[in-house]
Amino acid sequence: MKKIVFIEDETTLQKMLSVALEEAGYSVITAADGETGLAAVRSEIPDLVLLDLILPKMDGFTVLNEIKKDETTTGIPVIVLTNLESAEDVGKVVALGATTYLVKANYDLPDIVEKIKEILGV
Amino acid sequence: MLRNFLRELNIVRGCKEDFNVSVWKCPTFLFVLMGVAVMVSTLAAYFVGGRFNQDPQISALLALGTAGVVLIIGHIVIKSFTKIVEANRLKSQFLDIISHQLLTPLTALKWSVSNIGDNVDTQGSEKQREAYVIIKESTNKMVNIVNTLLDIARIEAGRVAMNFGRYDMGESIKKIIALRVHDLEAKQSTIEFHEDGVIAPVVADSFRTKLVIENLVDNAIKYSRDHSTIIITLRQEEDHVLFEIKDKGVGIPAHEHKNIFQKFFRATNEFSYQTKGLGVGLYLVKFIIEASGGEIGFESQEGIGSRFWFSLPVYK
Repeated sequence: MKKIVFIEDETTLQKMLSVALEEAGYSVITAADGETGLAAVRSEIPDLVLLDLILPKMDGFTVLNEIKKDETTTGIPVIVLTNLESAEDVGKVVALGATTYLVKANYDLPDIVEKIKEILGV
Repeated sequence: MLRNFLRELNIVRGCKEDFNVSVWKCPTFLFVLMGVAVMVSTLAAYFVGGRFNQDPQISALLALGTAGVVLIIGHIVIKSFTKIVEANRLKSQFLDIISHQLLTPLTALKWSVSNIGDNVDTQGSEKQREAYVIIKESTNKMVNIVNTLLDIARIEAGRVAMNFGRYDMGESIKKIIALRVHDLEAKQSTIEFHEDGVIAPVVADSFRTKLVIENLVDNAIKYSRDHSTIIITLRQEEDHVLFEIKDKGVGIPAHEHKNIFQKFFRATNEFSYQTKGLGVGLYLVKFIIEASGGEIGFESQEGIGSRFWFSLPVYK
């Protein structure tokens, strides 16, 4: 079973997407802040990271940077899942090495699961 | 033209409309005041200099006094500019924060609605299915309003990031029409959608292009007459796909055609029909299409109806 670490501080969103991903056959480890999320990525070495940008303790940009500069985690694809969408934010995320970014409010839940399936395979 | 020129001369109106500050804090008025002060002091220097040319001290004091007055007015001008810039920055920041705060609960609402969709479709009563469609339509409208406001703020700050990819317009149009069932029922109108042959996908920012089509469809519904038919056509012309929407409705008066894509524009004849909407839709629509390498245009005749079209490059 493929493993996803999902870092999101909004508990409602975290719960909804986790359930949808589990139903789609993935194992999901959740974290509600950047520090815990980064620790989970380092210990679990998942197949994919889903990352919000505005997070307590450590923001998503820092988490992404840490994942990409560590050689044990650098190869893990990271999908940035955010409601931030300015050119600076997107540019920064791309430069830091994210696989793609999705604007949460623009997609229905099944569409997000589909995007994840495309990247990860079922 | 003369009317516009005279309008420009009305400083009090300009201060209120352009800067939203009193005349004593308004840069336009203060610049005029500065010019008047310089002219008056030059004339005074000429007369005083002519009368008291034996006493250069008086002329020197006059020049010094004028310089002092100009300096004080200049200082007030700079302060008022700073205040206006700061107010503008706060306004954008406020809009940004409010929009983001709204997006989180809206995302939860949107995801929840999509989550219960299958159950309602298969097990729900007719009443529940109807309520579900209303919740889904309203949620999408709210997300669109917030995104429109955010995009306007981003355009003004030069911070729009387009997310290009492959986009199937035909599929999207069908979904958009399906979500307008209630709006169409309310007007007893219909939408016909024709695809001329096989249409290739286009290169576009899928979410924003969807917003473009939604805006044009919603406008056509809003401004068409009751019991009328709106026709949408999609066809491929060499390396681009052309979208076209025709309505039979109020149309846009000829003298207002040049303003149609401006921000907060509303046709003057519109109020006899509807006043809903932000008035920024077409401004955003034009920006999105042009930023995607496409073209946009329209023809409209008051009392007859409008035809809006846009083209987008084919995905290769």
